[in-house]
Amino acid sequence: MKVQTRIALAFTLLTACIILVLSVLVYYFTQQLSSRDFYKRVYLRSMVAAKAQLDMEYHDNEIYNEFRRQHIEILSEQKEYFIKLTPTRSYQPIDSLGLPSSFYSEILTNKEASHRRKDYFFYGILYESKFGPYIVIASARNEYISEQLNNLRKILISVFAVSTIITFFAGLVFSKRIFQSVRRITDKVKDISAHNLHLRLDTGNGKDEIAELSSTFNNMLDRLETSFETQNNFVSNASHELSTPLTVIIGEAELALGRQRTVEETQDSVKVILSEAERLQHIIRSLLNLAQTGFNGIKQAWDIIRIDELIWSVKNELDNINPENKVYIDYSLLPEDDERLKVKGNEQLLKLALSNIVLNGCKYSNNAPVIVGLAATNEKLIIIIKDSGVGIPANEMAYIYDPFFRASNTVSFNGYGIGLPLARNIIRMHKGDLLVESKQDIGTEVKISLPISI
Amino acid sequence: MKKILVPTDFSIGSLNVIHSIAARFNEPVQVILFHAVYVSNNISDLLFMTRNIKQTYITNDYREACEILKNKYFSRIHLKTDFFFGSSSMAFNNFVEANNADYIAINAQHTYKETYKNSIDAIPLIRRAKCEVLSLNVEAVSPARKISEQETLSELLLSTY
Repeated sequence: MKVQTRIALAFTLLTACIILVLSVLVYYFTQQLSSRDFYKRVYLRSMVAAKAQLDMEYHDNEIYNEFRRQHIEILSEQKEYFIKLTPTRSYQPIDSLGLPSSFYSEILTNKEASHRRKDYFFYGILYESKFGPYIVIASARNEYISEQLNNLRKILISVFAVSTIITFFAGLVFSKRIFQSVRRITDKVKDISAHNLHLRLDTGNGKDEIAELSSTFNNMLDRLETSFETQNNFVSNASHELSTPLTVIIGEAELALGRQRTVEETQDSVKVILSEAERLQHIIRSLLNLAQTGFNGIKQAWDIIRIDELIWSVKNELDNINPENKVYIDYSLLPEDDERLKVKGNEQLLKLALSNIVLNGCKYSNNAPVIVGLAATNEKLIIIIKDSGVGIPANEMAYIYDPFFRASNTVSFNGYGIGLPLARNIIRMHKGDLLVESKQDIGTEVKISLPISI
Repeated sequence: MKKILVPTDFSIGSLNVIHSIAARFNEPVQVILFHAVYVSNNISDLLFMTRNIKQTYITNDYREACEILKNKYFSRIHLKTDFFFGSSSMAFNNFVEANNADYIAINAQHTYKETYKNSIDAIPLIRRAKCEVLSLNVEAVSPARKISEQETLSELLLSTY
């Protein structure tokens, strides 16, 4: 069943329930009121009858009856009954009336009682006349009330039926209108496929849920489009990066095979082939690393790591790779409490990330000094890596995390553009943050913050 | 425990002086960073004066930097940030007295800015205060190599190229 129909049905059900309850209450209270009113009238008859029959002298009686006929309406099937009580207060009930004995006993105790059998209303009172106590019972048939109530019942039932039907159709129309915009979104989204990811939904100018839904869709499409483009870029860049060394290798090999050459020439060729093959290996290895960090971090072992030790081991490693580096570790902000230097994470990965960033600092500054600072706030451990290298042009800052992206001023440096995205992936895996601030020709500052494990 | 008042404009540069204080005093000291705020005489201005001035004035970077310094000099320096409301010398002297301060330390190289709309320059007040003023030099990273317009936490580092 469509949501639209469901809403219409729910709406109808709710309205029908309300109308039903209302009708029942109206009927019940009307009935209550009219029977109470009728009891009063029967009571009046019984009072009048008792006075006229039991307490009047004969000639008074005549006048009284005359007055009664003229001014008090005779109810339909109005009857009065008199039962004389014996001195022991016992009585002879009138069998033809079929009144329960509780009715009589209530009269004796409360001096009055009422009873109802279908449309017949009975009212009894205890009357102390000159000739002793009497039970006076008046009865009448309430024609009027039954007719009135019947009528009311008919009205209420027909109103209920008609209004339920009207509500259902109105609900159908309303829900159709409400879901119109949703249907529009559905149609539009159906049109969007891989070929026209640039299409966007019309959010209108409203701030309602529908507009929110559309803009959520649009955001999702933005992300999809970006990741699509990144993917495309990645594939083209990666194949380019991989094919360049291969072209060199093939060319050198062909050259070496082409004609008779001296041993030195052949050796040179093989050296070129070797270095290109190593480059290829390096690219493939870093690609592999990048791919691995893209997975969830479940597979890797997670330990508590002391970051100051990690930085030292990075520095040692760096001294092996590049003995001319000038990496200074700045301890001026090191916290006194070494508990604040502990981070939960994978040592290999964090080392990879840090060494990538520090190595970048050395590389792009031609071995100018690089400062690695370590500080701790209450929740975070902050590593600042600051170099005075070529920096990143401001308009290229947005792309620095794209794999294989290289800034325009880095042509003279070797590199593949994998280090920074890799480092960022790793830091993100550790629920940390990596921020890069840079100014062209002045330097770059990388701020890594990692949550302290306490 | 010595008490030292330090003016701050909520920049990282103004916090650097804490390094120098730590170098100068061997005993534990209490540092009260304060920012001078002008209070208007106008009753309606007073009425609408923001109550949680700490939350509106103190930036995230400043708080982080304070936490870093607190952790760094955990056993030696007790650090807190306060506000001085007022603009007269007399009021400032009262403030100094109320805080029971032994010194006022300023960073000799830093130019203090009036960061917010009702901030006031505390330096003239400090010069006139009846309290010993320490004008301290900070051996920090040379300011010429600023990477961004905004200040970064790296300015707290003491290394020089």
